[in-house]
Amino acid sequence: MTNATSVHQSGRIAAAVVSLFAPAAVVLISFFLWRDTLPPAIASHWSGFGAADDAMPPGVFLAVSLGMTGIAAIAGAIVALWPGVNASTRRAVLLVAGIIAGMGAQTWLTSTLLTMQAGDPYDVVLGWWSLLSVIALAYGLVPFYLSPKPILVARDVPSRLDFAPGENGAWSRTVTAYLFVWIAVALVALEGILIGVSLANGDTSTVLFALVVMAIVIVILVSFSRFRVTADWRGLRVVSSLFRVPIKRIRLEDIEMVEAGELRPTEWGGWGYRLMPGRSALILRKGPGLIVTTRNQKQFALTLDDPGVPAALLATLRDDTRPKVA
Amino acid sequence: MLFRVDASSSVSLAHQISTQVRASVTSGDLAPGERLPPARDLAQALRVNMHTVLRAYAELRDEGVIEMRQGRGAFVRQDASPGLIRVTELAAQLVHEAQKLGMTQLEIAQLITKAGPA
Repeated sequence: MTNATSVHQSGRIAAAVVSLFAPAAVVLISFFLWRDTLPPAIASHWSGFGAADDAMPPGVFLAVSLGMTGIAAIAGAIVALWPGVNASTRRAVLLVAGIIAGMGAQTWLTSTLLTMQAGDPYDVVLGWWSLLSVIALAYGLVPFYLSPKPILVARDVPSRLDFAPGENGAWSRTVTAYLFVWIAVALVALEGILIGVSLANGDTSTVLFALVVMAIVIVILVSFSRFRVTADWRGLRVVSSLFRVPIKRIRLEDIEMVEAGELRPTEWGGWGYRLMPGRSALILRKGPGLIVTTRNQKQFALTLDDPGVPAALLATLRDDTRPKVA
Repeated sequence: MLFRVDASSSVSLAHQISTQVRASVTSGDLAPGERLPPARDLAQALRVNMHTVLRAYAELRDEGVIEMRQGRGAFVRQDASPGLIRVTELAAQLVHEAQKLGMTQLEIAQLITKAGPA
């Protein structure tokens, strides 16, 4: 990395960190601007679409808002400036911290302004103002995009398969992800306990909703628990064995590099199906796996016991489809 | 597992597939109980007719290497040991050589009976 690039990157990180503190600054500045006109209590809680059902003194509400915006900003800044932190992790943390900080500032501004307009905090109706929370969520994108993009490190598998003219090859393997099976079992057990407690307390209103939500989560987990990985002339395909739902498809012509490497969950955002900007992964454990880098600079990683053969096959098929350089 | 088929080979495509499955079970690349790709998927992946894959699977089922479960696909049999597969291959070779000599099925069976322990 050149000095100019390094300075540019440091500048972007600094700008991203500064943007994290903007929501806290907005809360503080607005407090000092409004302090003489603030009502004795500010609406702080709504149940449903009606008027507020709880309120807080301005000082307490300010402390809560500053806590939410400030702690998110400080935590995000510490991680962003931590020596050796990789760009993907930094961006992900800045996104989450930005969302929390944005929500904190939005809650303060909306509640305080509406209470000042209504006079009585218990007359405050959120209505369409609740849509502001969506904009507040989007604030996370500010530090996210200010932070430098990760530089993808990609290598191509050196080995190739020796196909005779007219010969064709395909690789296929069914993978069982016990991780998802055990999580599903644990969720069923937890759900059973929670429903039992709810029924024992005579609270039947939430049981049906909880059952539906949990059933959806369990179906998703089970669909990931066994999948078939295929590498052939079409590219790489990962399909759920149970419902035949495509989990990932990368066309052969889109493959830039394919590598059989060592996957570490900490480098891919943890265990399970991970979705990150520009990267996705199905990580079941620390160990060997397949890493595919596409021509539009996106990466997909997949835990596999024997990634060498599918990597070599995909590289061979990809090379065969490309025009030969004279 | 890796499947390779060569359309220019004199060996039928179905036999090429069944030979590779057999070899993978022998080498341990395919473990007992492991599921083989659905015939339709493998046919698409290798760009061969689905009936070619079904013929290969039927051959392996008849040899006792795999079992077909209704609606669930083809699985390597739990008792599909490398030894059984080796004996199956030798039996196929014996039948092939005997047929070249013009021997009937009955004569081959009698030959095997005679070769057995008294």
